[in-house]
Amino acid sequence: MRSPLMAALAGALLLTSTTSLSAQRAAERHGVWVGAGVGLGSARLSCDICRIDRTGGTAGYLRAGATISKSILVGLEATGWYKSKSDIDQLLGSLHAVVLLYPKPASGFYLKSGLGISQFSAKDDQDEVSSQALSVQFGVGYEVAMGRGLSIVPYANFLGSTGGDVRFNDTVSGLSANTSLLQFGVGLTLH
Amino acid sequence: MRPFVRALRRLSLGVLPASAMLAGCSEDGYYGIEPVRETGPAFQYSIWVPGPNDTCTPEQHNRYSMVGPDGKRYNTWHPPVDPASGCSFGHEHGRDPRGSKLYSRTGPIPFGLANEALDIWDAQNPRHEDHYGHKVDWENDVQMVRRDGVSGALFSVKCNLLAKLHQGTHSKDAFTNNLHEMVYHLDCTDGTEMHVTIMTAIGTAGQFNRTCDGTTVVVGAPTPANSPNGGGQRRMPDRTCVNQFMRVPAGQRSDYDRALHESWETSNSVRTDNGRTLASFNPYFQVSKPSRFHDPAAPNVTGRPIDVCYETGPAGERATGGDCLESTNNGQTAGVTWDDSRSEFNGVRRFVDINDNNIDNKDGANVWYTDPFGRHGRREPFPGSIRQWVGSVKNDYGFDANGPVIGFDRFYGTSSTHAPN
Repeated sequence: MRSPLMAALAGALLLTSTTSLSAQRAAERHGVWVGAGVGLGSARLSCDICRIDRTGGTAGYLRAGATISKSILVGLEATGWYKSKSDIDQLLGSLHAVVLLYPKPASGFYLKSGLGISQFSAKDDQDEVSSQALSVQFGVGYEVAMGRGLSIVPYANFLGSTGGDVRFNDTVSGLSANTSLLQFGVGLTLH
Repeated sequence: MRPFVRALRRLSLGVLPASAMLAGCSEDGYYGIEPVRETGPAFQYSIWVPGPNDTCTPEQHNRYSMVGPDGKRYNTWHPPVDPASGCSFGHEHGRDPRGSKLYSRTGPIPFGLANEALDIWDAQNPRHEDHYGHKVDWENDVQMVRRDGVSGALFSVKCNLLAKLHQGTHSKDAFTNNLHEMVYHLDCTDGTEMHVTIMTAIGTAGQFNRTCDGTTVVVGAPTPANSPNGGGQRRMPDRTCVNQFMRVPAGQRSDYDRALHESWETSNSVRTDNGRTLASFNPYFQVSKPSRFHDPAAPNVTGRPIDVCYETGPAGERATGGDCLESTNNGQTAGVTWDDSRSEFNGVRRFVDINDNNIDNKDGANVWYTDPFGRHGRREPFPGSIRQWVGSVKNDYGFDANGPVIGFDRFYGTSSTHAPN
């Protein structure tokens, strides 16, 4: 799973870099936009008794919204991270209201922030551990115009949650846990 | 004062100075026992007398003593062979507690402190135990969350444990008596911490559960007569198990574990005066080769496994292989008695299932004074009370965070160790 994904990311980044040499301009931003991306993510569940190591997995996003101005886009973004190991499936998902800010409207570089909820779950065929909490995200990216409102977008993102109750199966445990996710990858945006 | 006390403990080699010790359980951390003036001997101090083949004197034995938080002098852990003189005590008390990471805070363990408190709490119903039965075990950095499964993948709790139970397996005492002194020190990475000394009531007084099939065997009146019934059980061997699994037909090998295994399955708690449970824990203390089993036809209703090595059943059944082979060459070596150091049935092989350790004391006080059974906890001491220390946490996570078996591969005796042990 990891190697093909890495190859795809490398290919996309290479395409981006070669394209950016020939097309140093941003795509036009107007009306409704949609975007999606995929990449790698490193997630961590933090609590008093949590193991300290971060866990790498596959991450991505889907988002859509409206253009407020050439410098500001607003929308909804769903982010997901997934890891399966030793018959345990771990999933970290979020749904955020996001704002994308382009400091220089003529450039494809943007800053992103968002606010919403995150849900972490880990389960095997017997048990499930889950936690849900408010979360925020901050990110950066660079939209490289590919023509007709389509951009290819290398991006990096950080998502962190407040402390949320940890549930073990149907029982609310005495634990409070934070989640965090570092992700990077390549996406597409269509305006 | 505390750095001095800790330095003193590091220097202590079991032989403690005459300066007595006091339980120093403050609200800002457990620091064990601090110096207090000695007032006299505890009832169970200096009760050991050497057997015919023991080469140490009582004076050498009593050098391994300390003063408890009540000002009384107690015997404490010592090695089976005195390193200073090379003499043998003939018995052992388990793992050297000085290797525990908790020892710098707990110091040596007084043997019989809870029994002594019971003498005051209920003077008409004392419970005095012998010296041999005090058994120490400990383990550092024990992982309490099973590594497999979801909880094991995500969570980790490590604990240091230092425990002592009076677990005599050489006499008829535990056939009827369910009250035994327990000392339990636990400190974990999640804030779970307790330092508890109680008389634990293991199962129902006056009876035990047969080790090989769980059947209840009623024996007689306990000491003391008002012994409360506790949770858990005492699984012990009796003649039925011995005849079924130790004496076997020709061509078979004895199953000594099914015949003789003892499992003392405790269920303990520290409770406030209004009955609220502050802490609960349920370690199982197990012995593989005791030197006794219940036999209504034997003197003192106490049969001896080593004697079974010489027995022949009505259909020619005999104990063969294993411990009888090693002890008596399958009955060919005559004259090995129950208290002979050649006997493998000496109570040396033990292990502990740590199991659950629950605390429900979030933001609560650490220091509680309870009666000798861990009940009626109050903030101030009272006659016959014991000072307990419970961490200010609640550690109910919804999944099992319980400890594994410790001590299974350890051997605490020497070639001179023998029953009674």
